[in-house]
Amino acid sequence: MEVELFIAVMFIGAVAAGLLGSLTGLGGGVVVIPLLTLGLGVDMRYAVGAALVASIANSSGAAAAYIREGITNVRIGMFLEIATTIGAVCGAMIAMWLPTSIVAMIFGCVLIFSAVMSIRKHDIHTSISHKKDRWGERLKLDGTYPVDGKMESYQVRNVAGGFSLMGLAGVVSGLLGIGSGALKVLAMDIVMKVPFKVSTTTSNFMIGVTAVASAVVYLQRGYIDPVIAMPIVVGVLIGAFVGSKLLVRVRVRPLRILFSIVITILAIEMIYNGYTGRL
Amino acid sequence: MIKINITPRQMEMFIGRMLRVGVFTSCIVAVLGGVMYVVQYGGNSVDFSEFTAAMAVESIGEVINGVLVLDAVSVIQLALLILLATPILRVVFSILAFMIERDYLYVFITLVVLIIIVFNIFNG
Repeated sequence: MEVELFIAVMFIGAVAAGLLGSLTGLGGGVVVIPLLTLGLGVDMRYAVGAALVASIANSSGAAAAYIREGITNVRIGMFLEIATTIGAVCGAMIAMWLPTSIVAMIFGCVLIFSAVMSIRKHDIHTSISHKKDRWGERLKLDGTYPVDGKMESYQVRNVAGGFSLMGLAGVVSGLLGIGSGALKVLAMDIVMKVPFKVSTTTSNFMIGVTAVASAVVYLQRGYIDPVIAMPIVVGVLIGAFVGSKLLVRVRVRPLRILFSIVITILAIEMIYNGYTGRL
Repeated sequence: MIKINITPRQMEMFIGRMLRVGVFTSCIVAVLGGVMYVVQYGGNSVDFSEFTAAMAVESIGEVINGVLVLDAVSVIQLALLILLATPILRVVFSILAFMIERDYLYVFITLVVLIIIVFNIFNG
């Protein structure tokens, strides 16, 4: 394919990926991998590298907006980042010797899991816990966040469980180049009982730092090709920006269900192609 | 002891602004590099179906040297380095933020995160 056409097609695809990623809450990186591998026949390793930089751009861009609102719990984020960064470094190391067909199949499974997580309904108030966790108290993880203009306090639970699951989320994100936001939210939301709003923004805050831990390895090994990364980063950012503006206007739930179906189909295709050795 | 007149909230806002500037700068440099690439290599055909690792970044110096001779690929790589630097800078500034709050436990925790990342840069 000619350079101009390749860049143009990738740019348009990346805008769509950023839009889809922000509307489903899955992040741009998740859609970039099937787009590049299934859509444009790009090698899995380049796709993972491109997804990684897209995740970083997405996270930093969104985090800048979230900070102003004061919902993100920086302490929970920082503490859990010890687990995710160590995990990410391990994940990147594993990715260097694992066959791409296996990586593609793991990616497919994570994608299905993420799609299911994105349509899950959230109990905003009932999940808030007021039981104390010894580690939560010691590490000052409990916090407050705005609900309808008032500050509501929350206590975290099962810090050890959340920390271990975050390590796994780190491995997945280092291995696949995605933010693995769904796993992060699972760890905070379900295991640690952090309120949903806090867990999603904190997860977003963590994605950039986690991705950087593995991105360096990918950059040095040539997984991040400039010609692919350039239109992907710019496109995903534009798509995510438009998506965040749309989010407040459109009804998200029907869209999420539709996108989750699309993503599940892509996931099955990734698994099938990995299984038959085509990826 | 030096008196610091920055509130935690001001620090947060500063970090937010830094993230925006970082992403924006990276984006602009990437577009610039992209235009240069099309000018320099337009009409050539590209094929990424085979992994070759041809564009591995070996050192920051190498990228800077490339930028100085206006090599399009190096300019895009510079954009990527700026992008990678933003979350790292964020961690660095978070250490300062926790110092202002005199929360030394979190100065330590954040330092651990920074060490993991930096260790990986030099041993990757």
